[in-house]
Amino acid sequence: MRVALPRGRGRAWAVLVIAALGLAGLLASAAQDGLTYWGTPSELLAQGAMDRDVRLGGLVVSGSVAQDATGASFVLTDGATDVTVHYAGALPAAVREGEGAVVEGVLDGQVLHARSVLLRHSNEYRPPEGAP
Amino acid sequence: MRDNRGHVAAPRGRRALVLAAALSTALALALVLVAPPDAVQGDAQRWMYLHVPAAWSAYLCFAVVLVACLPVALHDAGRPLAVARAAAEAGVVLTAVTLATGSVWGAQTWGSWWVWDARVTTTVAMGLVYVAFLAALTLATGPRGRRTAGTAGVLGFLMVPVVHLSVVWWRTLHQPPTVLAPGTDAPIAPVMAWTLAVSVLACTLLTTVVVLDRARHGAGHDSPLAVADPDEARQRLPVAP
Repeated sequence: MRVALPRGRGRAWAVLVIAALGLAGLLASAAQDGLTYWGTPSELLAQGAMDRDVRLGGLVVSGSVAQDATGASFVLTDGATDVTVHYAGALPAAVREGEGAVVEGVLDGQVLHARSVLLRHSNEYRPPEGAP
Repeated sequence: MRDNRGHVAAPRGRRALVLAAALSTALALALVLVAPPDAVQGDAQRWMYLHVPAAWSAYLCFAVVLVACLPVALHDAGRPLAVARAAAEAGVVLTAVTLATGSVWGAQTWGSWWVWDARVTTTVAMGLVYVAFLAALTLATGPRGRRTAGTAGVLGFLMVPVVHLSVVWWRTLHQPPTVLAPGTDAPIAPVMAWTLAVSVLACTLLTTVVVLDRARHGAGHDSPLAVADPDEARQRLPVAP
């Protein structure tokens, strides 16, 4: 399939307009939602229950990860406040206790029903223990 | 026409540059293969050796655009902008490479191919700023247009610190910087740091070769009189790798 693309100056104008519209879109969305990707357990609990999805970030509490046939749960903490996360499905293999995670879903009291679970990793890079 | 900045890397200098780029690339590939996997991320962490050099080289290209555009923006609208154009083109490609490698790395470690966190959002914005700059440069036929494009090339560089510090300024999914981090020792094993350093050197040299070649070949078309048919000019440029 061939699409007749504008040539020369017409094309440059088209590229300029598309890039400017894209920038305006990014700026508008940043102005509306802010650029903060996730809230801490303390911040989200202080806001109280909301109808819309929230993003919660924190460290996975050691010993809190439980997985069974119906779903998984774990506790996210910011050191001061804990939120229990329920996730209907198998957690990504890489959910590790003590590492960071960002979950998206509906907050219900101290419990968050997660739609998605994303993992953060630190800025530290090391070979495994005992490796050469 | 004024002297052509593209000629700074004349044949002999260019041969040395190409040789250095080839050697460092070969060494980087060898190091990337023998470097240990990360304790937490495993082999996925090897994407760092392409992702970080691409991002650094993009920053460098945009710094070149800044320097090349300064005289045009300030006083001399007639100065050739072939180097600025070549550097901006390379920078946009490298920004796309950064986003693509980051996407694959994110899929393997975050569990998502794409998130609109501050790092990703500002990186996309940085790419769009330089796409707009290139379009403005193509449209600039007179001194006023060239001064406008030059000003865009200067102000566009503001995006570089915003992108780099986005992971410090805002809460992101992306982790904070490791090497160019404010006030800390780099928390990275020495063998990984060396592999990263050689990869960054190789990418920087390859980018320099490509930018100088494209600046030299495109230079003849970069004057207020010669941009009447930019398509014709573009067809005579070598295709970027």
